[in-house]
Amino acid sequence: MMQARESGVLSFDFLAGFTIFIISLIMVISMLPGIFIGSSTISIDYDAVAYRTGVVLAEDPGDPDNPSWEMPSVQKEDIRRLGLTVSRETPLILSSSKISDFYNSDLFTYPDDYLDRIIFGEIPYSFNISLSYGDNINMTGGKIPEQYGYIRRVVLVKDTPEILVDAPSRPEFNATEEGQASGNFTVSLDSLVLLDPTVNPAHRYDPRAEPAWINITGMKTYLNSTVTNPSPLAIGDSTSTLLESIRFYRNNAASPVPFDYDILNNEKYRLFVDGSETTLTPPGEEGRFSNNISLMINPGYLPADQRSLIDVVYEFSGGTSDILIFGNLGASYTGSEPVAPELIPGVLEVAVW
Amino acid sequence: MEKVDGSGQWIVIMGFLVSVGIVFLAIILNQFVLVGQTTSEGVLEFSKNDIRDIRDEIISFAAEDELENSIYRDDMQALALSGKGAIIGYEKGSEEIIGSFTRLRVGIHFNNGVTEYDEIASIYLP
Amino acid sequence: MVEDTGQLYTIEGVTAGLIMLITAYFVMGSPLVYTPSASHISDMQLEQIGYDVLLVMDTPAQYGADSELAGYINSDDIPGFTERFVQLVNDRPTCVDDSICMKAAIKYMLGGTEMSYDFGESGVYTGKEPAIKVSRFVRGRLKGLGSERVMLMEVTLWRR
Repeated sequence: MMQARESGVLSFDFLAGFTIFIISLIMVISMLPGIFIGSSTISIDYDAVAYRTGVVLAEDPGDPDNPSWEMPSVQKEDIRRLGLTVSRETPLILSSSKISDFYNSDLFTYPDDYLDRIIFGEIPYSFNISLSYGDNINMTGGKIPEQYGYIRRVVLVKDTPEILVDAPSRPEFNATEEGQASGNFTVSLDSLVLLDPTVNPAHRYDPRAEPAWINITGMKTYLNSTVTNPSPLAIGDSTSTLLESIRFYRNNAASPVPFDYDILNNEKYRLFVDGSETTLTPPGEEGRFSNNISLMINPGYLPADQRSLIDVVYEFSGGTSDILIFGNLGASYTGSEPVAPELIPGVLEVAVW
Repeated sequence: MEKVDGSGQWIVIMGFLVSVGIVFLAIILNQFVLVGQTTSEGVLEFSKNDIRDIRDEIISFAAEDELENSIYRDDMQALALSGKGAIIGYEKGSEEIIGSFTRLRVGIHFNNGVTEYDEIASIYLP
Repeated sequence: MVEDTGQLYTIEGVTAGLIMLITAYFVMGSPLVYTPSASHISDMQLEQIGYDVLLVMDTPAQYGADSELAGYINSDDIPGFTERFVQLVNDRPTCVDDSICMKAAIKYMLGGTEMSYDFGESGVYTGKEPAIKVSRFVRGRLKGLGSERVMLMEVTLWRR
């Protein structure tokens, strides 16, 4: 008769089997953590993060876009994404003012400022972003180690355009009749003309967002000199004249726009009179020139918007006795010397580790 | 009559269960390995560059008033089908005069079997 | 006094242990080798840079001008195009240049059939690395064909 075994005594055989089983189980369980060693996903991730960063930099204009983030009116805390393109419709065309702001170490420090704005996410990646075009090589970031994720993009950088008045080829600004010469010359930046929607943003000059050089060269042709000026009004023999001031007027206002006309400020403008730098109100003889005037205005400091008309008025002292220039050049994309920013091929490389 | 010994069943069942558990973990391991693969395959599959290319070409047609040119249209559709593996189509939409410009609407369609893209683009003509 | 009852116990325990160990061995020992090329990352990088270079070459430098690519096609300058493409696709200013090879062809339709016109190649066919193809629509006049037509420029890229 079988009695239920209640004594709780295990037989040796059971113990032996059970011991072998438990020992094997312990060995297997101890092997389990090692299963995932070969599949660490972080290193697979680097290339994907680098690709995403490359897309944000090369194909996205950034956030905020209107006004775009490199304008001085946009505060750093409001910048949510740093993208380098000119606009949403022009991927791979980068804006040179966005590039110089991006690499400006006074504005953005490696790595924190960049991590939130181009490399999103929780993991604190290290990175190195380099962009080179023409003769410029810009780089930010750490030293590249052995293993890293990488992407390379080939881009076009839209360089600063030039509004050129080359005197010998512009006889229309040379006074040939009595009463024409006024001692003033105006360059007009009309937003309605320059922000022409029929022109691709890659070929446009945007006075709100981009710097431009305004160069007047070959001024000898406009001087009141019988030697250099073919005009019948040229009766003198002046070899140079004095630039008294450059003022900005907005929308045909009576008085000029408030601006630091007397202070040298490389952030806002640069003026070269015959090659030497001076302020917009050149004191005394600093404004004397005989050949060329180059002016560059940085965007954001002029009150341009999509409908404004900004007039850059050059005042020459001496009236008509020294120089016979007059007239108004409206910058546009048509005509003999259109405003044409140059597109320079460049290489953007992103390394993430 | 032999008595079938029913003892030891627990041990074998536990062993069997542990093996099943390990096989299950092995399947998860298999899927882990594909993480990097699907990231880049996802990028490769979405034909961002093809759509941009077709869009740029159609907009350049519109700028030069060649939207009705049937030779261009037939060639482009045949080449897109063989070269990019996609069916494309475009049609001229409404024209409006706004200020000194004309705004032309162009419908653009793209379908490569995986991705479908439809857009009505606005183009400004002088 | 060794009993021989319970031998089945022992055998069952041993078998169970062996089953677990063999399974673990199969799992650990199976060749799950993950290579970078299996992830198609390099394909994606190549494809992106190929499209980038075609776009850069096909953008006119100035408003109203012809693009570089249209210029090469209209003048049938195959060596010029090949050299420029290889230079743009391999240039790496911060370190040694890349070693991407290319072979280009232009596809066009003539009388309902598709024709192909070779447009340059550069590099050696090692067969070691995978190749990808990028394409872009261009408009121009091919040598020997009268009118302007829509064509597809296809470039196959691979690393040496």
